[in-house]
Amino acid sequence: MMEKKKSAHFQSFVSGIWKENPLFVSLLGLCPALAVTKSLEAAFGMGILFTIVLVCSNVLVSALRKVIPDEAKTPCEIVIIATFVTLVKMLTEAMLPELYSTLGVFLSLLVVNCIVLGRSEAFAVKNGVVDSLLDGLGNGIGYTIAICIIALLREVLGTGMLTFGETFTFLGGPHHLYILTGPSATPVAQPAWDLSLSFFQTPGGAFLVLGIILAVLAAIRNCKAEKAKVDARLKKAAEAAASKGNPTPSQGGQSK
Amino acid sequence: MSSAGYLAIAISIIAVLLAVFVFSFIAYRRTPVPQGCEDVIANSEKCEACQQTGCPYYAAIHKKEGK
Amino acid sequence: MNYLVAFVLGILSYALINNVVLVRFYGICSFVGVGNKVKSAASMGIAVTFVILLATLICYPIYHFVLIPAGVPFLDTITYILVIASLVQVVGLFIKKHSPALYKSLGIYLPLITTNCAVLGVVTENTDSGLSFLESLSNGLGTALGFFITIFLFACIRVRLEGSKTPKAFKGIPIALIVACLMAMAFMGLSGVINL
Repeated sequence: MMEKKKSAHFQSFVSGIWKENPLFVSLLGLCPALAVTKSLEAAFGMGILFTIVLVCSNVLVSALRKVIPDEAKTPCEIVIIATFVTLVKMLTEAMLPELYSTLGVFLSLLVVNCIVLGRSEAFAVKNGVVDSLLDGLGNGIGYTIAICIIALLREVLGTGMLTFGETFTFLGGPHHLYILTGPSATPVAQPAWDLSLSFFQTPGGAFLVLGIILAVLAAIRNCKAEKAKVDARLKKAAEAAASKGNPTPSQGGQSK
Repeated sequence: MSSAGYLAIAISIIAVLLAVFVFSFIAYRRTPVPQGCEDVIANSEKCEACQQTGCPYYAAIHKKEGK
Repeated sequence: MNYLVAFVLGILSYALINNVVLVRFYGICSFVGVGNKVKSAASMGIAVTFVILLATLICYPIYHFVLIPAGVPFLDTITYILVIASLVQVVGLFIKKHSPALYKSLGIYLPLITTNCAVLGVVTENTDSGLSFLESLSNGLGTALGFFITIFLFACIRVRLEGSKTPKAFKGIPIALIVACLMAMAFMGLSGVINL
């Protein structure tokens, strides 16, 4: 009984990461996913803050679910989420001011993020505190991984290099990892060779990257569905051949 | 003003707005749909964009379009 | 006279050049989800216009005449979302009681617009960037107009997409995002036209 319960908790945690990834499968939370993914650091920062807000609001809504009357659930959820977003905003402004200025308005927009509101309305008001915590953690990690993938593609294809240390300044001066472009002596000098397309740093590039990622995932899903269909058909044919080849009289009432 | 004064003002502003919101929310939920509009929800094309799982019609519409 | 010109240019610039969906990235969830129904898109656009206008008119004075004198400017996020949500409920109440025709066409979208990033985004931008009242009004009107144009065009294009042969993996949302990419590239061509 304890093991069954434990695996159910773990299940809700794991499914939020990949199988029911909030961005790639349910297509929620698109606004920050396209806007802050210009650089990998900003996307990672946004993912961490998003996870913090999601986990905290899930836990509090779940802890108060028996106290809040049924009719006033949505207003209370909105106020709880707004409070945590304000707290996270003030902490970020104090501790990581570059991240705060990079994220801009989108930190405030976490209040109306479809995922945060959706998880608290669909899950946290019906389940216990531990379940909600794991669900929030799973969804948050899944969303972070998803926007980091988009940001990785946009930054590498768009600028040709990964830049660390500009948003998280505690990592030291900007370190560049040159992938598609040669190093340049100073930031304004032209590099020796450059294969990057700055189109990917524009809004159009964001839509393109997300569209192609979703198409790739849909293609994988279609392949799996085709394979499952073919497997089922083969299995059926094999069973039909077996029953035709060896007629077993004891199997009365079983017709194919 | 002292910091306790600021805290009191902040809490009172939030309390007033929250009261207005809860009052209008419950009033909206309780007024009946106007006559002639009851079957509007059955017209599911208008709700495909919605992600509000708290909406009473969300389950019906997304179940309908999912299967 | 100068104010009028600046106001009109401001609306145009916020509508087309700094387009709310394709450049500033607000309101994408409902943009992608509206599908290929042109009438729904138009109704949604009108409802959003309404809400953005009222929200701008109410939130700006509240920030400047209540929050700042009280010394609590950090409460802006909570205040705005509560004001927007109450506004939407009150307007919905009014429509439900007095106008069944309006309720039929756009009453259903009103609760959805509470969580639309565009409304909260515009109101937060107005105060974060320190715009004057006339500028925030032109921001609100321009955003609403831009949202309406974009969502309407997008629905019309998707109607054409229905009958065309798309690769199986791209059917539905992926090809819609590629179309949005092309629209964004088209709007990029307008940048720099108006220098405010």
